[in-house]
Amino acid sequence: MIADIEVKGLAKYFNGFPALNHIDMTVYKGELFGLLGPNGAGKTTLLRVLTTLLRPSEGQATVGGYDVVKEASKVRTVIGAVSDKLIMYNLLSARENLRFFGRLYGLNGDLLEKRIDELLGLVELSSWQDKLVGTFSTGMRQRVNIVRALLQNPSILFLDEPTLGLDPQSQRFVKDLAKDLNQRGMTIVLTTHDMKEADELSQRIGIIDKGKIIACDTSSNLKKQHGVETLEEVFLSSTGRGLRDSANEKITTMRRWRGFA
Amino acid sequence: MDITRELFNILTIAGKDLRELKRSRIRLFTLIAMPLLMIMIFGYMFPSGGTTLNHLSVGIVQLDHGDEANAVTGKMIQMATASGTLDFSSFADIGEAKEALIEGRLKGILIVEPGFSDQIALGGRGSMRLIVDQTSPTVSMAVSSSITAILSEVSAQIANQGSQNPTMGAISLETESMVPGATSNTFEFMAPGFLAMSVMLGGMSGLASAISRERELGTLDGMMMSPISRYSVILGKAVSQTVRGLLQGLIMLGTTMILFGVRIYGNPILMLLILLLGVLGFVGIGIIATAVAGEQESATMILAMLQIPMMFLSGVMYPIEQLPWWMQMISKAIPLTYAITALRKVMVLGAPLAAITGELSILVIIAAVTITLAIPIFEWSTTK
Repeated sequence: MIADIEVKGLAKYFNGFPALNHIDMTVYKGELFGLLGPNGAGKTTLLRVLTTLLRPSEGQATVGGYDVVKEASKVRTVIGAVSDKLIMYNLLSARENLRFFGRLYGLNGDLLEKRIDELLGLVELSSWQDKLVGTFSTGMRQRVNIVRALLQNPSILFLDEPTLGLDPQSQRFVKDLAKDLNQRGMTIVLTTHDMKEADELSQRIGIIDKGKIIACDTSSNLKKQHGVETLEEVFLSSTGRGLRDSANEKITTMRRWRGFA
Repeated sequence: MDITRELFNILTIAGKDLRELKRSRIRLFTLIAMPLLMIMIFGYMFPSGGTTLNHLSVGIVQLDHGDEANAVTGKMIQMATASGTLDFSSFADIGEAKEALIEGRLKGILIVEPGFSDQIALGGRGSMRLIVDQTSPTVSMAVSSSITAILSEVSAQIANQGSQNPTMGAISLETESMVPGATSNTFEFMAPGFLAMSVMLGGMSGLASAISRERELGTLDGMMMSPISRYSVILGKAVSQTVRGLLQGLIMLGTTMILFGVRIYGNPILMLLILLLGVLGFVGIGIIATAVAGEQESATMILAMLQIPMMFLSGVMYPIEQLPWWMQMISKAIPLTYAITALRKVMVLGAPLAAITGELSILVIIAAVTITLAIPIFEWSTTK
């Protein structure tokens, strides 16, 4: 198996606080890897480092064979990412949004327009293409957000809680799309709090807590190792039943809100 | 309505807002620094002892070198030096002196007309002409009144020495503007300042607010994850703000011309060039402030704190000469000062490119330095 994402001793500190604490992790080419963790475990921080949005404090990470620090611009050519925020402009139509982001990836002219047609068809939004996305429902906006990440036909896709806040129909749609893309060979890293979703979609699952990967295997192996029936039980047994504060997960946002420079 | 309950709710909300303020170091700092800054600027700008303009540079062009002319100019220089109001310097011809005035080295030109000595010797009226810099009505008025006062005293002294009739009429003074036919209009002095200020400060705060908004919405992540350079992200935003700024500038300019009779004596392309270079410098400052602030409200407060001294110390509304020396030094470090000075020269005096190369060079340097610094700072702030 060929590694598509390799993480070695990766650490990220915010004001001395270890949001990621020397993580080692491998995601193989063509794999759909589920990343689970309680609030504040470091999932989003890890994804932000892997998508070149955050610079790691220590350690190394390669994505698609490229170093996330030294070859950040090359990493950006092979990845697509759906973050927890909807990356789109409300005052632009769906097509205009996709055209804008497509151009940033060097797509132009007929090639870009055909790609947009294809992607809007894929998420069943062709008839809405010229409407402002500000008028869309959350589910429709998330569908635009997902195809935005697919514009450049990335080989690696990061999905950060892509079904959060969606109705069951939209959730099903997103899950089927993720499965379909993975079957076509795309490597996918999925973070979610939905254990059933992780169980259904992921070939392997990593559980992250307090900035460390504490378990990583297939869902069935994890269940066997913990002697339990469900992934939720594996999760609770690995991370404990105590409630978590969300200081770690939200620390980046807090630093901004509090104006720490 | 339960008033006690309402009061409690009001205090709860106010308490929460103040707690948030207390926990934001940048907001707290600007909250304290802003009133201090404003009161210091106004306090020194309008001192309790009254505002005086001293050491205004005036060129003397003697077109008559007779004894009387030499005696009068000598006396004038002596008196001006003693009072400290005017600093006289001699120029060989009017053209050279006018060039110095356009470049901003002189605030007025006093010309001793040919035949001055003969007229005085014959008991008539010797003629002098004063050319004032109409880019600043306050300064030109100060130059004009100082020269009138000095001439009046010189006339009296000459009369006392028995060589002339002791009346002011002994020397006649004609005042004219640098641009023939132009009158010194206060709004013509202020219009270039307002234009430069709105365009540049608008560009600075507009860009900062646009970046902060995109950061908070998450759309900035979309751009930062794409394989384009950070220069493209920053300069793309800067270009859109520049276009907006120039559009606003054109609207303001048209309005001042149509409604307030402001005239442009210089080349409009030069004006656009000044505004463009100015906006680029301010865009860089805006990016740095946004990067340091992190979120929108702090960025807005930092920018407001930068804007206040810029508005009052760059000569938008008051001549820089009116400020104490140390404030004049600060004003020299503000890019808006150079943009306003250059714009005023072009708009009011019809100055050519050669007369504003100094200001343009400074604006180019500021734009290059701030944008060069802004990009790594911006990248650092987004990935730290």
